[in-house]
Amino acid sequence: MTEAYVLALLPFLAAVGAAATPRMAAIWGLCATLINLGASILLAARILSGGDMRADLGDWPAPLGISLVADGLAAVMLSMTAIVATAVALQAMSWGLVQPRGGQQRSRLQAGFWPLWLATLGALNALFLSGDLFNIYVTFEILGLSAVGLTALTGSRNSLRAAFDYLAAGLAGSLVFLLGVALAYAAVGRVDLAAVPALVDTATGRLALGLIFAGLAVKAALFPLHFWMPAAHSSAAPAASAVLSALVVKGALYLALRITIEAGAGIEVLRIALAVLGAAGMLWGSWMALRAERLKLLVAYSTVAQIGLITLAIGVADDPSTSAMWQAAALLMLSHALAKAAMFLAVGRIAEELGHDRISGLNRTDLRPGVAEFAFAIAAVSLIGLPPTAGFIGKWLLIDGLIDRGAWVWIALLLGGTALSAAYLSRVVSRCLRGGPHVAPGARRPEWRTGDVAALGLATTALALGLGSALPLTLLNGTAL
Amino acid sequence: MTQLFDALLAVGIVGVAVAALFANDRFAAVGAFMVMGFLVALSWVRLGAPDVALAEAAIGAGLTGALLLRSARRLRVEPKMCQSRWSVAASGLISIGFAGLLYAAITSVPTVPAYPPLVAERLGESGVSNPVTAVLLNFRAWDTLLEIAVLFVALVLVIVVPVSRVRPAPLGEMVVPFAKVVVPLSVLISGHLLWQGADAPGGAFQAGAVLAGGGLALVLAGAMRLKKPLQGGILRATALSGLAVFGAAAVATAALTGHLLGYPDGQAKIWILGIEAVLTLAIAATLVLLFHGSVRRVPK
Repeated sequence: MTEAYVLALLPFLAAVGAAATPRMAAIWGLCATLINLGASILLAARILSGGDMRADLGDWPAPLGISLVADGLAAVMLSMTAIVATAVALQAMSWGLVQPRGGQQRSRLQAGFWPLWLATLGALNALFLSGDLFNIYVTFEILGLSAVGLTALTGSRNSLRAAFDYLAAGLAGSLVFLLGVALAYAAVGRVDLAAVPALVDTATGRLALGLIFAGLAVKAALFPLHFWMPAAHSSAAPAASAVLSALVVKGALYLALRITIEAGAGIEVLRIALAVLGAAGMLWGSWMALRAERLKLLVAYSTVAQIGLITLAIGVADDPSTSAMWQAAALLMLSHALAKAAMFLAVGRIAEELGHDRISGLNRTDLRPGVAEFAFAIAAVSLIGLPPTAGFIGKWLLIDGLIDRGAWVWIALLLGGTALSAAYLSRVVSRCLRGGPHVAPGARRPEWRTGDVAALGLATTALALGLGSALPLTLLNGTAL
Repeated sequence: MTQLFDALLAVGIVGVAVAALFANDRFAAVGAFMVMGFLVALSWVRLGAPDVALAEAAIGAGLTGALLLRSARRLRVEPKMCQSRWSVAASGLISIGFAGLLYAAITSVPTVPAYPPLVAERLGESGVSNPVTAVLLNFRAWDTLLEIAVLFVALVLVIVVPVSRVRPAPLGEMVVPFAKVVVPLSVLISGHLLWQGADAPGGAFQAGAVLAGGGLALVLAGAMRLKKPLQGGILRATALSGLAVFGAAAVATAALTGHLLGYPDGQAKIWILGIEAVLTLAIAATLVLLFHGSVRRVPK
């Protein structure tokens, strides 16, 4: 479990280092991110060869103490986080954050970005490894607070307002979640994840689970509790947007998936509610993305839609002890994280080259499309779920399972959502594919930047993951139920 | 007699809460909120949870109140304190429904606490005899480490997000004599709470909050000129040392015993006291900085 200890502790220590020595912050950040990537790969390899691992912290067994649990699902989530983290670190390294208004502003952004981002990384790692509901609540507190900081970093009026809404919504979600955990403790006298099956059997326990899911719905920005999210994700700096949209909301989605897996077949009402809200979110987010006028807002609403899709997948999955449909949700999370991070990084670069992010102004005759547009297009292919991307494999697993059950309504909704996602992403991609008469002969090409490398790397990883999806699926198959 | 006291306490809490919600003046609302914090702390004493009572009084009422007063001063425009009647009625209904749901849920639960017996069984191995400290610093020390990380993030937010400094209005001639009494007293009480935490209610959070109270008295008396970068630097380093030392201790225990936060046999008390001592200073420094705002100029 040394790898797990490194994953849980190193980001926090590096965050302190970055806060104490702001000039070296980027170095702390890059080193920690790279070690984090190595540790998550080693952990995944250990789990592949040796099965699940478990460590009782302080040698106190649960429920007295807290256990770290590293299984296939955790390993997939940790690797996803580490890959996105590396790209985000590369981007933030090269380019600071967008809109540096004077030197002082820029260094404040950089000095603040690294400690907050490293704390986010540590909280995510601790969350994915934790086997204890109260401990997970504490990780959510770190996650929520540092995400608010990442939103507010640009210091603009919009981002401060969005950050405040985010803080208020996050606190409300936390309180409801904590209330659920307290009720769960009252009902069964323990708060480790092994208590979840016992919760299903009592009325108080079911109420506790309901409250926990309500809190998670706020934190995951599940429709109709997503009101805080588009503004927050679209007004933050690109590297921060990528973190918020690709990773932070995944913490809540992961826990929803984990609890439904632990709870087994006993929470039918909750599952149906998740599936219905998910479907509604998918359609609403897509509709808003179709109508968005700014590129970042389109991508943010696309996150609302994709969260809906993932929640739908969690909701319609059968009892995990008999069916592997829940793996579709995990795979969709993985593919969304990679593609959405790539998309936000690419949008940041596009906006930087154009000087604005209005969709109507993407056709510029004096500027040829560059690497960022290419990365956006690949990421779009993955989000829509065309073969051979990871998004395709996830949707395939999902629809395959639904066909077996004959659940045609859900299939129709899924296909409708997919068509809508193709429609709203085409608004951008079709403009990126311009050529011929639209481009003047002497048009310049955007220069290469490290940010392009990060976006393109993530997008191609999402693409390649479809071909190599056997690896995450093997990890997920090994997850003990 | 005690029943009468409890009844008065309950009525008082609800009454002060209503006063806080419907006060027309922002400062009056914060004042009522602080009084409510102290009454809630008293109710924790009556419920047999002195640890929670101490934390509620020091942090929930005292320091939160100070932070709220500071923010209230910063906001210039007086907003309409009362929203429209409909929204008040709606939120009241939702709250009552929620409370009713909770009441039904809690009363339906058979009250057999399962965790305290577990703690009691292993308390002898934890190195301390106060079960709350045993849980916070040994059995579930990982939670506490992450909570220190929450404080760390809050501190970074205050440093990064531009906040104006407090310029305390001159408080009159009594402020320095007041500080001369309060500051040494806060140091003594804080040390006592820290030491006592091992076998009676107390511990790093309460001790840190009390020490921070002394720090605030210093700030308000103008004795701590935080604008000097050196002192600000020391304060900041102290605040950051909490997470750094706790994290380093976790690494050290993992290296020594193979278990993260598993203290070596027989040395648990020394480790716990050491960590708590650093945390007390770090929590106090963090809380003072949260009140005071960023002290260090952003590097060029």
